[in-house]
Amino acid sequence: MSEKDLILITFIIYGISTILYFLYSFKRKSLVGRLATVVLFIGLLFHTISLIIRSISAGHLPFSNMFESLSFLTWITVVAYLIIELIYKLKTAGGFVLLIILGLMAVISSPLIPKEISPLVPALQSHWLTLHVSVTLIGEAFLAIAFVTSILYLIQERKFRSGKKSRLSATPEELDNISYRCIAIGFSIFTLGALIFGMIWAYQAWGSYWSWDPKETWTLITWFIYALYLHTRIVMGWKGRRSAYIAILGFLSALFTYFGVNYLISGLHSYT
Amino acid sequence: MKKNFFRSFWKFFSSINLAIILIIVIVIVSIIGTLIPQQLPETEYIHKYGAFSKIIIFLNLNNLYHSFLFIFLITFFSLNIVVCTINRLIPSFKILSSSRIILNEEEKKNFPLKYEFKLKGDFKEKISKIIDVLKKHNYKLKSVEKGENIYFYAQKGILGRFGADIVHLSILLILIGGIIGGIKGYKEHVTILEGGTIKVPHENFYLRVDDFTTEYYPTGHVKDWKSTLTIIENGEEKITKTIEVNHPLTYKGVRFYQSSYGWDWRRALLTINVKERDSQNLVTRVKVRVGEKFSIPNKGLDIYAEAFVPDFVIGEGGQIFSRSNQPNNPAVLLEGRENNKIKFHIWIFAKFPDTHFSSQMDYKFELIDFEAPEYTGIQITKDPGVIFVWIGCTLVMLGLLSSFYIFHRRIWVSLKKSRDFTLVWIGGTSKKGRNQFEKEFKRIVDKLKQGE
Repeated sequence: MSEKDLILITFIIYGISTILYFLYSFKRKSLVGRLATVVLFIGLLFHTISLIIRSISAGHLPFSNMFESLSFLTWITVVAYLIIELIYKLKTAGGFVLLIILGLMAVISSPLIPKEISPLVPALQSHWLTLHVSVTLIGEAFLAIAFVTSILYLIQERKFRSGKKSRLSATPEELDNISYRCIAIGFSIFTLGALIFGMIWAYQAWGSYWSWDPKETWTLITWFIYALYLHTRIVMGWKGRRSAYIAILGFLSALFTYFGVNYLISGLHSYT
Repeated sequence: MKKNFFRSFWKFFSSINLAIILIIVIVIVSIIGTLIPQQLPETEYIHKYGAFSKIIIFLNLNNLYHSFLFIFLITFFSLNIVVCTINRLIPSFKILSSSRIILNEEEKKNFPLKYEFKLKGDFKEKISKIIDVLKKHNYKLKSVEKGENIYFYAQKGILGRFGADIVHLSILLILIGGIIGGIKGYKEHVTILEGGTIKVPHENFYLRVDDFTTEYYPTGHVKDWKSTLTIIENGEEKITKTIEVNHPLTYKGVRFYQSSYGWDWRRALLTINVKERDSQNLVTRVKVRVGEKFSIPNKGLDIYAEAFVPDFVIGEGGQIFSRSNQPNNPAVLLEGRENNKIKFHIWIFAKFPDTHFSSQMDYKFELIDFEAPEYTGIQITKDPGVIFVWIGCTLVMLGLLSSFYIFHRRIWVSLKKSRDFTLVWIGGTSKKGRNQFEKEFKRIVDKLKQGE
């Protein structure tokens, strides 16, 4: 089986899991819920194999271009989601997280993203490539889940306020709390991977740890937005709706840092 | 008057609202800086933005992150951090230093978590049990005896209380590192031919390039550039190292980076075929260096290789220049002289041998090959502030993790001895993470009650 087939199989299995998660959300049959998680695990297994095959045939870990890093991001987001589901017994968010995963995987499979294995240019031949990109993406995976739970919060809170019964099981308070927890984890890991490891690598490769390159600046902007989330929440006691809006904005900024800067603004980071 | 000014200054900079506003403004300004390309020559802005370029240059948006506006914002932000941190640290230290072991009834009332219960059995045994249980939960204990009674004060996770302060102060440390680097550091770019030696700018030692190589993948893509460098100080060879991208050489705090490469085309050695115009028969093949001349045997014709351009283009104004340093469209300017009279003046292209095949000439020239000495581009930097940046980064992580995952928990216990039982009062508080603390607190109480 080729890597392309594996990605396709993964895509289909994730799709089935998404349907099961939504079925569970609306019907609340615990068997369906358990099945959704099991199917997601199977999908993750295929996804893992595809990443391993890619790493072996490329001769380096899958972080060197947009296709590889996106494939890893979707993989680590599934892992992060499964961890959060396990800790917080949160099945409600599963379907919505998976919708984003499916969207990203559709982008990966599209011809927009070249899939060829290209040899590493000199600047990318560093262990910091692995550390910088992988740790950043792990952080972003948790921020992605906070993004989903924040959107769900807004939906749930509106239903609760208008007195309507919601089909989703999680209460707004739970979702708000999980968003905060995910941002605490995601923000810490993102700080380490994107900013600190990025600075160390830049110092090794370019001779200065900070150059105000657009990608660096956008990383800092994203970091500031999450800092805003934490300060308004912890110091000013903001919770709920306003917090959710900042969390959503933060993730959109992270996405722009990831994609937008590469395609819209040129700079030192234009490897992909 | 002076005191009033200081007070309002302090009040202004201690406001969290100011912090929020500053963060938002810094974010917006930074976004503008990523949309307008930075540090280009002024003409590029005029070309790109037309009339707006005046505003861009006036507001320094073309060098935004070093502009007065941005430095002003960062200064305010730093002052804000300093004042807020001091305002946070004072009460924290007060709490730590003034925490009394013996609480009065009024203080006991206010505890969110508290229990009072009786324990039977030996008083001494109860004391060691309490010490045991709290120590098992990693609490640090202090105790006071007063008459028949004994009082405990236990705490853990003090770092959690200071997590945010550590992060804030580390950010300042990183900024200080940046300022030191900006004032005392430098960044230079030099190009050196293989075998060449230069004096390192700002320093009292010399740099020699022993070797420079480019490695390729089988596909033809560049795999790596490597320069073997030797540092010479006081006539002595101090250190030799082969640097490559991502692997610089460091000597006395000065770092040498492989940053570019190229050819010194002004000294290119060219191979030129001279053919008869009509028959295309080869008359001679010569090797000539740029700036030098060759002659065609027995004809009295001297041909000067006037100039060599690796990437020939003609600009809008008709001027000839090299688009890049890469040999994409190599061309040589030949000038033919007979008895010191100029006979022709033509460009010969390696890739287009038939261009400029003039009928006025008796010969056809072909640029067959060209080689030039390779040079390596070395970036030389010194940044004495960088160590503060790394310490700052480490502390930022430490601070973040302590603030999110370590909670300062405090427990007070008093034991009062009665005739046949011990009266225990236990109360606790935690800054953040109340739910988890409640669970731990209940477990501690259950353990104390065990065996009753």
